Amino acid sequence: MGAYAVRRALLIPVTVILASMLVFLLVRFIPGDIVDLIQAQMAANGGGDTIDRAAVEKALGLDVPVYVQYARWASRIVLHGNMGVSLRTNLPITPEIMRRIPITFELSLMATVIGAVIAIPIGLYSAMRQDTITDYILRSGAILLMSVPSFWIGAMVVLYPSIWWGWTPPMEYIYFNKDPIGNLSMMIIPAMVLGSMGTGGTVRMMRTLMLETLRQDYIRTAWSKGLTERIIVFRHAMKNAMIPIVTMYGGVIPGLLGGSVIMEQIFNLPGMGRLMLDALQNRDYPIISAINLMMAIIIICNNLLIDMTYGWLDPRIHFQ
Amino acid sequence: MTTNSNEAVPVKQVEKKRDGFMKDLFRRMIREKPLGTIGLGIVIIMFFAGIFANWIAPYGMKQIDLINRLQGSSPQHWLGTDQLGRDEMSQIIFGARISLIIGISATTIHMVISFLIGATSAFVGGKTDLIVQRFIDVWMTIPQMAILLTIVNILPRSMLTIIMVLGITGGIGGARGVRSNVFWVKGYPYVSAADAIGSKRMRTLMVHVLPNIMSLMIIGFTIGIGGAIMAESGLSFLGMGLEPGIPSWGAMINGGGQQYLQTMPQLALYPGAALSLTIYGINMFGDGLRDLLDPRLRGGIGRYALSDKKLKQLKATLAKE
Repeated sequence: MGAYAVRRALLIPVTVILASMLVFLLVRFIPGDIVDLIQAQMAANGGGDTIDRAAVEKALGLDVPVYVQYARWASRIVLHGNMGVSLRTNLPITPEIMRRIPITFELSLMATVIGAVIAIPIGLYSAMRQDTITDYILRSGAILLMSVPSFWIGAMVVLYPSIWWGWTPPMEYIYFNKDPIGNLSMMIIPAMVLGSMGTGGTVRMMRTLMLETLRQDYIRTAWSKGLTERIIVFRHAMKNAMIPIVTMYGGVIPGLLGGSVIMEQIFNLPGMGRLMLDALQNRDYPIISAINLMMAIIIICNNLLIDMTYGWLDPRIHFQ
Repeated sequence: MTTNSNEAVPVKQVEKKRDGFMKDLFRRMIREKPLGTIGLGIVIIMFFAGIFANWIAPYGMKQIDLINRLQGSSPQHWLGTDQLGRDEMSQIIFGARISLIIGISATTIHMVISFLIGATSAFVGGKTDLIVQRFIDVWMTIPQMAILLTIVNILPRSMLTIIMVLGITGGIGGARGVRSNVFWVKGYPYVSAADAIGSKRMRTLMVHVLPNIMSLMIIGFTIGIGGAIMAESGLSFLGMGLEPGIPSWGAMINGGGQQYLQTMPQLALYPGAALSLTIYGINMFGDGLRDLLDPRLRGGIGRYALSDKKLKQLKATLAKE
């Protein structure tokens, strides 16, 4: 187990570096000169005079080759923790991001927990009663949850209560340390909406895994031994099915991060997703790169956690 | 003349002609997977709506009627009009066409790319596989929505852009699944047998590997269409999708910067319902398809592989003995 953990941990810096390169290049290499875009935007905003290309390029650090730009950017982040300044407001990015991460994190965490708590029992039951009415109902329910776009549910959830009861989501965000109950009550609805997005996939996955597991030979042995269904399912089958579920959650979390962008927009939460959307609107490239990088780092840490848990749970790896 | 009763009477053996793959699949779907059949029905309806939109929709796609804007249901406009006076129902029908086009094109590109990358990587193996895997892992660390938003924001807004971006980003992600499937097939002896008789790698790939992962690719395709439609509508909702004139369900939900939603929530309700129903149908169909086609779900004795009816029959026959 120790060797496994060390091996996984060593891969992290490599992945982080590669991810940072990808994030950096994503913005740089896409067709469309940034300077031209800025000029076009300035022209659209009314500043009609042509800008000095060389000066802008120098200010943006674009006058050096790409790899030098990357080296400067990366070293600045690693050595100083400085992710640059916003193109629009000239404020430093790092404190802003640091302030917003906990919010997005809290939202994603709540959504994950809610999703798992609902989905796993449903998937389990659905597999145990395959092709019965209950299975159909539960399965269609899960697929329905998965099919309904989160932004639609979110928009409806914000819209109709305001029409029926005159309720609006609170305008200002309630921070957790100031008012935990208020914060939770504010976050619970977007978390549920977001969680429902992951629920459908998890139910399906759990059901498929359970079906696969229940066809194995050792289950057949257990049946012939005369064990009750409850023992077979809970003690034998579920433990083996849970392992891929844990791994699957590693894939669900990036989806939740992406979905949180939409939730934060609808429910007016000042998280990373909102910052990203605003930055995209304003063509604020330093912020876009910084947020992409942060998300990548979060997901890499998340993957590491999942791998560790997987290594701990799966007895085959555990005893390596 | 009496025939010796011990003499064997040759019985003409007639082998029942097996139905083709598609027909058999269709029949199994209808008989065993009612949910999947419902999904298929929904998908077919959407297909028709999209293809024959010009004939079905009562009004034109861009037919503006500013005098009658923001009206509720009426005999002329069954679902009312939107903020520019366009007939809501026609917008939804045309939206089906847009979703269809984007969904199918993007998913086709997705499938092709994930097959190319995944199968080649798995088949060639070794260092190439390692490097490609690293790249895909790194790609997956960035949330798909973030990548989509970043790229779409920079490129010129058009349907082609959206299709290409959705297809390529999805393809890179899907490569991982294809790769694991190819590894699974590679384990079978016919692949090494083909290798032993000197089959060129490309031939083995096309002739032996591809048909065996075809089932899984079909499942992936159907589910991928749902994902593509969902992704495109999400982008449109955030305002980063298609050009403003083109009716996309996601854009309609966003419609008019949410200012009209308070007064006339139907504008968001109907396209959302259409979107949900379509994706629902696709997912149900894909689910049923997977239950039927996924080779890993085949076989097994015991309660969990037989339906209730068959289990009773089995128990009855066993009890008789």
